[in-house]
Amino acid sequence: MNQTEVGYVVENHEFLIYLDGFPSIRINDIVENENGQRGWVTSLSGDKVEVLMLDEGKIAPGQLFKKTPHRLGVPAGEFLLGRAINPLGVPIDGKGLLSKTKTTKVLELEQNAAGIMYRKFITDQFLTGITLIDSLLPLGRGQRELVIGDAHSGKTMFLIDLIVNQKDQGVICIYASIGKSVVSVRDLLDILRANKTLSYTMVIAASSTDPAPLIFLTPKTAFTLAEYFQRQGKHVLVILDDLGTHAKIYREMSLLSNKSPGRESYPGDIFYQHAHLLERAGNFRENLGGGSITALPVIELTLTDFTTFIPTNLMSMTDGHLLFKSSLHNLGMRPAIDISLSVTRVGRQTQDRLTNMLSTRIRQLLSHADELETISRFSAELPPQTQMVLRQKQILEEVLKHEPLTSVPPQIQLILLALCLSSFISDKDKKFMEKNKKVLWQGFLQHPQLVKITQSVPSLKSDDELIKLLEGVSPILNKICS
Amino acid sequence: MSETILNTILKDTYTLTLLKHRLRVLKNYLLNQLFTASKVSLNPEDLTWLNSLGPAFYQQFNKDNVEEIFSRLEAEIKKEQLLYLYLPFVAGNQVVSQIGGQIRHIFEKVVLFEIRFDPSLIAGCAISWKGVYRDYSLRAKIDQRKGEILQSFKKFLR
Repeated sequence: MNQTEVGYVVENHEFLIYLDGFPSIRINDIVENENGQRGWVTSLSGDKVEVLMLDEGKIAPGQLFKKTPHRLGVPAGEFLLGRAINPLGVPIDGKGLLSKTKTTKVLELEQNAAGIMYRKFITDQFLTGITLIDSLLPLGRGQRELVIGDAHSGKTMFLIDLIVNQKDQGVICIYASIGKSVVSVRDLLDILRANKTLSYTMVIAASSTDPAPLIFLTPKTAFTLAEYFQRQGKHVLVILDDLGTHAKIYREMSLLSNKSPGRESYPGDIFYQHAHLLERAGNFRENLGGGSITALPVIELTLTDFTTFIPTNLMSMTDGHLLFKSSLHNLGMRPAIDISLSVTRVGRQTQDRLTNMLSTRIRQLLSHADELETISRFSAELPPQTQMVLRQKQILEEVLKHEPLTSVPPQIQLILLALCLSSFISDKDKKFMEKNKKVLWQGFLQHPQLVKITQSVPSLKSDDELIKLLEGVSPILNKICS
Repeated sequence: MSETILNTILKDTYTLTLLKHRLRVLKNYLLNQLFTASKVSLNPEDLTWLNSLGPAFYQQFNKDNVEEIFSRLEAEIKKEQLLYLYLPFVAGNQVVSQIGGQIRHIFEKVVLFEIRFDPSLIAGCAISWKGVYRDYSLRAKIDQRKGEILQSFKKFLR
């Protein structure tokens, strides 16, 4: 005799169904009907079991569902690198079945974040190869940094750059595409493939046409897989694109299941849902594998307003934010990040002394130039000192501009920034830097006398030392630029 | 009072479908008798069943309590635990009565059941009671001894 637990559909509303029966069912168990449609048990109330359907299809009252031996989980392993899967581990990249074996671990999606005894101070910088980030808004390995901005402000391109620049850094990248269109998921895969990033990247995607519960699970799967690699001592980057869609999907599910709506009709536990996810990131001790999970949740703003409910929630549960503006993007800034409104809370502690000192000076200069810019609007003729500061700002902005799909070595970033503070640029303008940025970069990597400075950067103790060294080679710089 | 009425109805009513049908027929018949007194056309089976209830049964209903009694009966039915019986053939009325009698004998109480047709069982039956599905069919036996059966078939392969 075969014996299984069963339940019968007593109520159904789209992807949400209520079943009776199942005497010993638990939350996160998977149930299945005779057509193979799977459901995820989300709550147990008295005599009813609430189930969210993970597969599409018609459900009728009275239909029989059987309990399966599986829990809500995803198979984890190295075989996922270079693949695109849905949140339940089904490949969606057309490359055939996953090369998993019978011994492949299936990890449960719902995990509690590791406690304080398994965590350590964030000490290593997460290098992005982007001058603006690495110098002015540094990220640490294990940091949670919100990427917030308008539509068409270059967020996705920035994230792709970030993944491309992790080549040879030993970082595993996990891109969670939440509720995007099928076309954009395909485009993303094509870009990643074209830039040869798939050997250390995986994509978890649920498109807008998938059932809402499946879209909701996307970031959970991303973190579960990130934890798998982190526990092997690896450094992982998780990109959640985007949590605004995730919040909307959760709102849809909650309203359907009669949870009382709160602000902007989001359920009361939306903060918990996002905080519960993001606290799974961090820098971990050796007793938990020793790796790190750096999380970059993304949120798209409507009408440039970042004071709405979900963006402010996310700001409060992350260690800073990078604010992208479409106005800056239209002015040609790449990445279009507003430096004065962006924050990084733990990244600065991971920078070396020289970078830290230099970035402080540059931020001071930029804010001073902003003030002078406002005043200069009222005056026809500006004193030479003011003109110099304004010109320095323009040259700096040129240095901070990032060419797509390029990675600037950390020493070159520092040299170019220090050059903006040196007397070398006193008679130069923005156009000079625009024209000669690459020449200077190459010069510091190839010219025998300039290479010495590049090599000595890590041993320097202050920014003044570096500036002095650069002023000493001004004739050579002028020569290579001419 | 509604409990006595339900027990009388359940005396020879075994399935939930039949119970719901009979309640609807009885309600229509009573409303008609109490409020309009016109003739109702009923099928012979329903008429026989209504006649079998006897005059004492009908005396319990009047114009004031008929609606209330039926809403109570409906509420009580909702509370009833249902036994699902899966059969590989379509069961006729006689078979249903036989099964119903046997179930009441085994459980020693009134148990409502529903019959569901499942040809994949091949032979035997499966039951589902309080959320537990027990498969006593030939399909389950074959599943259990799949290896043995395949081995036996291999003997005949050339």
